[in-house]
Amino acid sequence: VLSRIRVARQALVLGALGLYAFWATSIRSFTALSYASVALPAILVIVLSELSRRGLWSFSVRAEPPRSRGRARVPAREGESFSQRTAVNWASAASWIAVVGAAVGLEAFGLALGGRSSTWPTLSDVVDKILVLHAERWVAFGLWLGLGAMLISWARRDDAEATK
Amino acid sequence: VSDGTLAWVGIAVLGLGLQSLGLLGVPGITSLGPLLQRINAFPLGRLLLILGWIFLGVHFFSRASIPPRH
Repeated sequence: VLSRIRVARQALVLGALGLYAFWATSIRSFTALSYASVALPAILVIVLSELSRRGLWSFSVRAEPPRSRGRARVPAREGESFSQRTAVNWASAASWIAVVGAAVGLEAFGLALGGRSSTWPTLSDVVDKILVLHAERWVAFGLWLGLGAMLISWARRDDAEATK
Repeated sequence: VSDGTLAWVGIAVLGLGLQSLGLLGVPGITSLGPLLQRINAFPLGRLLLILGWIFLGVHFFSRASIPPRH
């Protein structure tokens, strides 16, 4: 029963985020309402993640209870750290560091050319082109909200302790 | 399509590829979730993640309906 409640709650949260994203991306840009539609989730994430960190509020984006989640492919052993269980270390992060480094380099190059080059666009230029259609804005806003929900979820006291 | 746009597409494909390999459990590669969760475990990391997330929202969604400049 508890598992069903968690799944139902997860579906409810996803549905609410989807609806909110649809509404927020329907608003005309540079209006007070459009600023508020971005500010509201930002304020909620700051407040709720802090409450969650202090153990005063709890939220998880996943259906499983936090302790039994299979974050790692390898079963957890006693005394094993988060890094060992999930294989998160400098070596496994190196590929991500290289990708982010390439993105930062490309962005810097685009900005060095004045930020308006048609040959070497900045990330903002590329994303602007993608976000012209409402459906694409909706998906992007939904992903942004989803990441915000993950930030709240990761702030949970027991989860934070498990990652140390 | 310009060289710069292709470079951005390449970076996106690389990122998606890494994420897929990480989710499939390929040894030596982590997916983005556990990596961000690890960063989030540190106070400064948490602050940077939240500020970065807010920046993304303000930057991209306050200008989302601006027509392409090129």
